[in-house]
Amino acid sequence: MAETFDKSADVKVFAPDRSLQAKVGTTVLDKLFTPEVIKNAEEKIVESQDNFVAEGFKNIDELEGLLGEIRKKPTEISRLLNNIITVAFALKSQAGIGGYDLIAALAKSLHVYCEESEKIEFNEKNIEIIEWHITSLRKLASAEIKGTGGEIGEKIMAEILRLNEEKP
Amino acid sequence: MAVGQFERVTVLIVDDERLIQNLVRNVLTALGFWKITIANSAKKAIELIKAQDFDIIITDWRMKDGDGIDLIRYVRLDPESRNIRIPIILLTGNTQEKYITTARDAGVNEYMIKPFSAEQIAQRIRSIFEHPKRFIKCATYCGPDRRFHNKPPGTYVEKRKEDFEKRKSAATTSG
Repeated sequence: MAETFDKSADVKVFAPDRSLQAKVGTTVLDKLFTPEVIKNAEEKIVESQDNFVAEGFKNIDELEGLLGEIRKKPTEISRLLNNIITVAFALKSQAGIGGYDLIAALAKSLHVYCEESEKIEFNEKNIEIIEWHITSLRKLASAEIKGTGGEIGEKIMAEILRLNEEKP
Repeated sequence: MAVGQFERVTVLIVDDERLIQNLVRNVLTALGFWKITIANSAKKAIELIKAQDFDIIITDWRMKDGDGIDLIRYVRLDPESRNIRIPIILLTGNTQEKYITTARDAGVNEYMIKPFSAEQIAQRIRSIFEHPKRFIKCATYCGPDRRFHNKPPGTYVEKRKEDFEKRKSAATTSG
């Protein structure tokens, strides 16, 4: 491996590693990633969207369980909030890929809210807001509302904006 | 596509969500990759990396059992790491600048925001294959050279800037 060493700054600089190019036998992947190959790969993403609902429900089940734990174990709020953030984050990504934009927006609102709530004293109002998010996620997933959700979506986004304005 | 072109390239996917695991694997398979291993946690990924060599790592950031950034730091900094220079693509829903900076400082090669398209995955892989960067190792940083070098318009750097603007716009739209 080509390497230079700058003693004054104690910095090692390695030349670009071209071993991957050697393994593939080309320096230009356009020959391999043709429009047809990319189109086929995009279709794999579309196919996977069908699996969102089942996976999304698992995450919502988990969120409901964590909410129940918060009520039972308020002293463990920090750990439980962190778990909610992780699950909401995963749900946001999955929903985005699945084409469920409204669910993704709501999941994002939930994890952002929890991230910010970690910095303040937690109270019943916070829990109610988290509960509203999770209940709404359940309703949207049950109804399999895709995209931005039309009129229902507008109401939910308005509610998210209102909650953001009223943050404790 | 030439059959078997990627047969010597090994990829490790690290994600705790089955949907994303399958999605990335299916996209990679469609792009021509054969040797794909999946780890469902950063901890499991480190075990695998200790035991065998991989050519590319594609990892999630926030996982229920561990953190993609810790995995990157292990690869780049741990004395037991078999190859500190493995190209790493980070898949994440973190769109804020502070997260991008953290990932960059940890030594990530490519930062990809979810939801993503197959074209975006192909672009990142193309970047790793076609434009490997110099690698820097010093007391405060270990990872690909982060400096852009001045090149005439229409070159790789220009294309990356254009791609960045597109992704930024898409991320703003999708949230």
